[in-house]
Amino acid sequence: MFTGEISQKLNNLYVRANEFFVNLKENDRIKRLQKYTKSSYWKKAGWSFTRAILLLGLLFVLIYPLLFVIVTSIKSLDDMYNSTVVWIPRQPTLENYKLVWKYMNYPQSIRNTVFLSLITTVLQIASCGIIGYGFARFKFKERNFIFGLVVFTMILAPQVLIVPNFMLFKNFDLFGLISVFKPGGINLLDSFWPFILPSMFGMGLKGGLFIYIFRQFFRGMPKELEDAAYIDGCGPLQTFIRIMLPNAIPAIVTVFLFSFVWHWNDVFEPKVYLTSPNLYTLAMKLTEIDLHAMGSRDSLLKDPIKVLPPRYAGVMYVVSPMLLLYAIGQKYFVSSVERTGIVG
Amino acid sequence: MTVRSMPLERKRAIAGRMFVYPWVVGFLIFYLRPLIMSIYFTLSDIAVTKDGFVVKYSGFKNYVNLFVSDQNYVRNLITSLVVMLQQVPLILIFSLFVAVILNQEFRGRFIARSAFFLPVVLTSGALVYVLMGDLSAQHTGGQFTGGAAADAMPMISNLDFGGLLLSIFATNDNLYPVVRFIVEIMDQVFIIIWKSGVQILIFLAGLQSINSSVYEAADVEGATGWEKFWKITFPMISPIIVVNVVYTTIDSFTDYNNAMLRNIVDTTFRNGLYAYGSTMAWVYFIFVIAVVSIIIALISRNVFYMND
Repeated sequence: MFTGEISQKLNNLYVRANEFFVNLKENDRIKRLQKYTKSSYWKKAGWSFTRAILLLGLLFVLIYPLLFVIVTSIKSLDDMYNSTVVWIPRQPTLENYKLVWKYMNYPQSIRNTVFLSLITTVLQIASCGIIGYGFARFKFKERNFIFGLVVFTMILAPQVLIVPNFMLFKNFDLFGLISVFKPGGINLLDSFWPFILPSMFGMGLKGGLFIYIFRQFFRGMPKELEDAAYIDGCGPLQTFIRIMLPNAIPAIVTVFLFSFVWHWNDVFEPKVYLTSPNLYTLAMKLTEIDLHAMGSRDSLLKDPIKVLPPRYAGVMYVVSPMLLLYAIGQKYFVSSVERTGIVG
Repeated sequence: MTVRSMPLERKRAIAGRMFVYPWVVGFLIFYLRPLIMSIYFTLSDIAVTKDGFVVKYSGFKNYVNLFVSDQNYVRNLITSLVVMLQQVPLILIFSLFVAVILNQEFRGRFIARSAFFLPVVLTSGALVYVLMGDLSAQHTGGQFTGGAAADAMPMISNLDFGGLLLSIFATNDNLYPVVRFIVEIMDQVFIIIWKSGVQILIFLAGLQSINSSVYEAADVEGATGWEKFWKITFPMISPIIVVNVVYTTIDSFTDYNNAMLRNIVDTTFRNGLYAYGSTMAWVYFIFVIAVVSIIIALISRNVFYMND
């Protein structure tokens, strides 16, 4: 009797426990289901989906030309004349790359280009960063007037000044100081000086834009950073180097990429300033591939298709180092807290 | 302003000049003389000889020619203004939108970001000239040269849906204007995607220098994504928007594809008319300066700076 009561109670307990666990499972299932019925979940999923579709579409538009260049560069002549061959070459060949390597004198040209792009870019980052900081953080009477001049140099295309610039570097002189020792000044043509010297003063290729970028970045930074440094007794230059620069890494990376790519690809100024072939950059060599491959301008006009594979092989030779550079540089595009640990 | 604050202010002014004056020195050495020379060219005749150039003063002849006998000049001027007004807002909205997306975390972000670097690489310097070749000739046999997109970005002329659409509907007179309109819009889309590379990168860098603690605070307060964009991202990035507006405007005016600039370069270097080319350029740049100044004056009033 007594035991029967106990066993019934135990039984009840067992049933209730069982119910509890079943309910628990059910609740869990419902909760999991509820996740899908919540509007925020669908909003998120919907956005991810929209974003994916959008980016895929844009990616297609952006990568298509590159793909076309790559495919064409490994086509043989038979494939070029065969109109049924569009995307998959029947006789893929690396012959074009071998030929163009020789035309471009690749080892020497890439050395010239890396040297020229790197040194001007580093100088431009240093000079434009300093100048941009001066515009951003200090007040003095003629500041706005000078900044107006900077914007003016952005607007005036280099094509307008190229003839007088040529004359300038042919008889280079510093306010008449050099002519005292050497009448007529120094001839800086056919060297890298016409690129290096202006970069040192923030006057290089698109220097105005870089000054503008740095100025806006520095103006947007919180002032507390600098105030702390001043209280600790840092001078303006030290504050700039120790406090501002580490916080401006996204701006520095951006300016580095632009300056490097634009110098790398530039042909207009190099063609005016550089005359001896052993100083030629990749971009200059690239513009000559057509003539190398065809022999003369006449045969080029007669057969515009034949020149495409070597031309695109040349394009790949010029483009691929820059894409590699971007892949490396991307690492530095991280958000500010991860970078400096400064919060608030 | 108290007397006690004066020395510090003067110190700051001197420090500021130390930072900025290297540029002024560079301007005096490398820019001023070519600038004055170039202005002088507009008032002269230049002949190319074996040893260089012979420059002879000729008064305002070049300016008179420009406005009186050159029929295309004023028309080109207006065209470049209209093109600029159409494209700049679209490029800016598109590039800010893309930069915000690329700043989010998702799988494949690396590839997406790399792809948007392609326009920066492929639309500058030698590559533009080299790729400008007759790519479309291979696919279409040179019959159809596409719309504006093919002009602006020769490589994407292969991507000529527009040409395809037109060739299908060209026979139907009723549909033709409609198709033409769609094709024009599509061409614009291509141009805008390909012209936004630089702007996207600048915006991306701008987004990354916004302190994320501001967003965390907004999250605690329960702000939605929409609110966060308009109340945090947009004001914080407004200094960068100014650079991009100015850059995009200037880029639109000095793009290699701009009818005006092409005309100037052709006149100067192909036809060897240095003096007349300089005159065309100078009048054009004064016009551009006026437009850019108006734009800067209009937008800089609405910019938010953390410290000012």
